Amino acid sequence: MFSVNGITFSYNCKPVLKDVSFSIGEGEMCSILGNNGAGKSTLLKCLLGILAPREGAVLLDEKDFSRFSRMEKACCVSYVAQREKENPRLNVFDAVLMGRRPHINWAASEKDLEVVSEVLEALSLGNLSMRYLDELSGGELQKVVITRALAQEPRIMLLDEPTSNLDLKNQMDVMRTVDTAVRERGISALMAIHDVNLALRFSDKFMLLKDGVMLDCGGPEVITKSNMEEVYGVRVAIEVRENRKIVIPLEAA
Amino acid sequence: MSCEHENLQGAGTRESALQRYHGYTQKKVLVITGIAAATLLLGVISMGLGSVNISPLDVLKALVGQADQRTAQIVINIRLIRVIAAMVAGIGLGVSGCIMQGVLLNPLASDFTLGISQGAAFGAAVAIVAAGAGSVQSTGADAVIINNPYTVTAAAFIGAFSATLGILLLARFKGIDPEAMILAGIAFGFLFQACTVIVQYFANDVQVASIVFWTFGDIGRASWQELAFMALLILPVSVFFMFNRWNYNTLESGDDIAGSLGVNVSRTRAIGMFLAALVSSVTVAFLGIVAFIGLVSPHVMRRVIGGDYRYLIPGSCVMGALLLLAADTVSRTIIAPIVLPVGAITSFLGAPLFIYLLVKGYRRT
Repeated sequence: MFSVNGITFSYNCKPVLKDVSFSIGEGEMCSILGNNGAGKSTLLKCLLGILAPREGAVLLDEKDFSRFSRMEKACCVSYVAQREKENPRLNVFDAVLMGRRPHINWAASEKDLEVVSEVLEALSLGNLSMRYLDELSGGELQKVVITRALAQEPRIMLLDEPTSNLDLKNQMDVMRTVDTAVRERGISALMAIHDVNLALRFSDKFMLLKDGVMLDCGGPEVITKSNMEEVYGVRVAIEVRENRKIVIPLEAA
Repeated sequence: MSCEHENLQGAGTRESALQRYHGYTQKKVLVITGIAAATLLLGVISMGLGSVNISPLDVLKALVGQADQRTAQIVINIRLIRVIAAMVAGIGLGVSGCIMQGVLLNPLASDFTLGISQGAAFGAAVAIVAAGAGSVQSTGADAVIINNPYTVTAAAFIGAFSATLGILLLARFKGIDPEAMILAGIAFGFLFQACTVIVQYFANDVQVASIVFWTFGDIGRASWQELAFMALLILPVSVFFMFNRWNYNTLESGDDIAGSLGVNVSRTRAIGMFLAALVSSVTVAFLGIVAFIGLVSPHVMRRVIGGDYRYLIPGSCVMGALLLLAADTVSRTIIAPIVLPVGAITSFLGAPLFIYLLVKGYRRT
């Protein structure tokens, strides 16, 4: 159980997050929706411990996360960024093995190697394991990065727009990968994402962020016409297809 | 029963993936060991070459004290120190280039692009002119000698290291990122070059000759004490780098990812830069400017065994040693009895090699 109580953060006195509170349970996927500059990435970095919030607390099982050491944090939380700058001359196995960094003291143990090969198999990347990263497509590379975040064996995964720069098929592939991992491994996922419909398809929970303020948080019921228009500043229509809500942008409000 | 069978199969494929990985890492270890062995072999051959040619077998005999006195004299007292100096300096330059390129995320990072070599030349120039540390001998191949090597070495070190300190201070207090750090290094390099030109302009003929001579890197310059000093610095620093090899791997994925893997990014970067610059400053201060070893060694190894710092760090060490020893052997023998400056040979071999690596690209396919 990961909970955030009244986080406030500012860059050089310019407030970016104002009193944000929510929580995520195990096996739950939550999407953060909001425009550019709404504070999505900042929120993720506060949870990651890279940025320290001015007020409020992040709690993991009721324990103050800011008290954790760097390595303890890294054993609980993993991070997937949108555009990965990766070492081109690393092979897939080694790139995923890097996720074991917080668990390794001097050398990778046999257990570390087994975790890596297990995760690679689970995400059907086993046949790529000896390829160099500069020989992969964008979609494959993003899956490798997600595999690494899973090899870290975290309690919660934070993802910052994992599907931007990917084509439609790879967007679905990557989201399904995250979805399967979350359900099967019982970890939580918190994801900043621009594509509302992709979020609607895979998430259990939605958090609406506008100018650093949380407008609403909850299940698919919070995806309403008025909420969407408020968050994105765009007129929308909401339809239901195959029991799923679909948000259709109409024109700028 | 069928379920059990499936499990076995699953375990089987996983094991084969693991086995493939073990094979892959063993191959890297084999390559590094092979290069190390080649370096030692070249060392033995190199000790046999010179004004008196000695067969490799006799060299080995001399090393274990089984040769006649004259052979032993030449091998142990004259040529051994040179070969060991080339290996030690090559290790230092190779490993420091590898770490600089890693922490600055820039394949062009080296003692040249960070102003270290230019700083050393400026420091040496000031010492030669201001402290009167240079003079000219009239005869022999080594026409110019440095009267007061300790002053020159110390001044060269201060010059070499000041550029890096400047960069680190900028990073610490102005928060400049790795890309800006290398640009700052290039700027420092030009500044030192300009300062050296001004010093040379006001120096007399002998002093200018001494300055120019100093900048030609020369492996034969180091004494046993200096060599021991270099080795005692380079060895523990290399071990420290190996302790941080996982951290350097994470830095390549960007600061946020490195941070999310529990790495203290700014500290890893600052300490890595500091120690890498320390090693190459000391090497340059003792031996003069030896171009391209720090740049090319990690590049060659990235191509051969990949960019994993667990293997790239030792790989750059052995490749640096091999390249510098080869260059020094060529410089001693190509137009013997004249000994060419090794810095010229390394540039001569290094520049085309570097261009070849660039043109060939990193893609295997």
